[in-house]
Amino acid sequence: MQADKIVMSKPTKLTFQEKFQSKKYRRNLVENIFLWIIRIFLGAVFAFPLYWAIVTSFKPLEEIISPTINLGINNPTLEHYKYVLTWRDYNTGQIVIFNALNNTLFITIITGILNIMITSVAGYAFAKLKFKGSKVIFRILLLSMMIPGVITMMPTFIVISNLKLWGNFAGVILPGISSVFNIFFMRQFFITLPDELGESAEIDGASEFRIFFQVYLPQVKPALAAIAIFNFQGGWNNFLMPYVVLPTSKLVLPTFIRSFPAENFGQTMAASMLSTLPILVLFIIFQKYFMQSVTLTGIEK
Amino acid sequence: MTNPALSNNKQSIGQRIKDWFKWLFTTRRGQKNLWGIIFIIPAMLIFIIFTVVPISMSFGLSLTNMRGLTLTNMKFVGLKNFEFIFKVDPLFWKAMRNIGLYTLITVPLTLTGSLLLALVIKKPILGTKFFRGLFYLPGITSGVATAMVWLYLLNGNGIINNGIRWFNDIFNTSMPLILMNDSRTAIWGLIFMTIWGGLGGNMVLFLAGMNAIPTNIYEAAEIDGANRRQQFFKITMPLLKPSLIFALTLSLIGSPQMFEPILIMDANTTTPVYEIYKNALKGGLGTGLATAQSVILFFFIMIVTLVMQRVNKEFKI
Repeated sequence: MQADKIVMSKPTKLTFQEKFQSKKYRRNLVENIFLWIIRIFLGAVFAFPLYWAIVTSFKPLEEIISPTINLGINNPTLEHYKYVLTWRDYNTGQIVIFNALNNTLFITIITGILNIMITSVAGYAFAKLKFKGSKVIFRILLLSMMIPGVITMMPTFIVISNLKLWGNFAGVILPGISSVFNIFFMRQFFITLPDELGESAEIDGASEFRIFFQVYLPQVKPALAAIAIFNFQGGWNNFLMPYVVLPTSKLVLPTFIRSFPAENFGQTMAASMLSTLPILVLFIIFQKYFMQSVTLTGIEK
Repeated sequence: MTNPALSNNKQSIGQRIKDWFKWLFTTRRGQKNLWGIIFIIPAMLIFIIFTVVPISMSFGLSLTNMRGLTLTNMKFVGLKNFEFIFKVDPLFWKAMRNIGLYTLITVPLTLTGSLLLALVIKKPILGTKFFRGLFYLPGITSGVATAMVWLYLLNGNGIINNGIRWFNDIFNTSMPLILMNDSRTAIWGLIFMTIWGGLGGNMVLFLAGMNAIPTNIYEAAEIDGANRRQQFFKITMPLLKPSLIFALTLSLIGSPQMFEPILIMDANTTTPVYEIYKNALKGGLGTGLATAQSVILFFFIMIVTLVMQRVNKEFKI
């Protein structure tokens, strides 16, 4: 592997013919071409559902339901997008998709910000403040992570209903503003930082809150970015809670997609594309951080 | 009042609390404790309301005949719900068989598939970033968008079933169509969708694990004359074991709880959690029975988790 890299790293001095003389270079070239072929094939398989959704969202209805396979479009149309973007609520007269977008943004942002605040503060307390009983409480939290979600799912709805939060955004937001995994994750980051950081600030007379906020928090930016991305993705794509708890007058984007009749595939695909677009743009810009959030949360264990 | 011992005792408790508060607010160590407690209060409140209370509820309510979501009007029925599930309920066990098949197929295929994918994407050549992003794309799209796209891909006139028809015509086979409204094949549609959606996330995980292996180990192996295959099985696999076990454990916990795609696609199949959902929220057999079902599934998954912990002692939460 390293030998390949050396050949790769100093090709500026050599012409292609000269490089081609080397057996190592030829082997490397063949390997790269082989990898490219596999990657293109797999990429096509992966991208096909997405491609097919995009194509369908621009197809007129006759082409969508036609049984013949057509990988392209004969008569592209914007009618589905037009319908999705102008569909108004019968009672309020508001455009439904913008309402859903507002609701999604509201829920996602509030949940995400509160979750970051609550879990980073708690993670810091477990890592650095070492108060009486912190070890026992932390062990209990860790044990709870092993418990499968199915056992808490239904009773969570009972709790929401009995707290009179049914039908409110608060019913969707509250269960998400803290999570044991994020607390654990933040603690692992804070624990790697030296205690001396806080001690010197302490001598200068800084309060515990300032030590947390100004000394330690800036040190864990990668962790905060990872959690922010996770929270955003989770909130943006959350289907079950809004679907069960919120009435049909308070749609979010995932439940909005689901609100079209199943046979209107053109409209469903257009709605899917529109609601995926923002997160897709974010993903293209911040790909590195998205990948990092997966690896950080995975490797930490 | 007249008992000196009692009042003395009371006083000492009061005094102790007073001392504790004094310690909390005045000493340095005490203040750290105070802030520690303040810092975890919001997290603990949410933890108690949405984890501790629901878990105790599940076990408690599984012994009642509760219906709907209101806590009034229910009777203690002992183990009747469990008796019903084990003796009568055919749908729940059909759901368990479905999810068993689903887990046995999706988990190994997703894990080996994403391992191979990580090997394909590992070498940093032109376009690596693009393809890595492409493979991870299903991981960022919402479950609803994904499910709706697959519902369309798998409809009667959809491209996959047309492909199957075309294949059957040419090779004179009789492969069944995969339809989400056909109770025999719907689970296969879910299996394909899950594998497609799950490969990317695990790939990123394995990729990070592979990149963390020092390259000089491979160099040394190459000098000793180890070929690529030997390098993979003797170096990559053993050093990747923590990532593999982690991914395997998460999949084995997550996959038996699958049900959202069924709900979204209105698929003609069922899984245990879908039964639980229907019984509790859609006026099926009631919340009491649903919680009993979730307790049974809970024990199944806990057994898997504990076995996984035994299998690999390095992996301990």
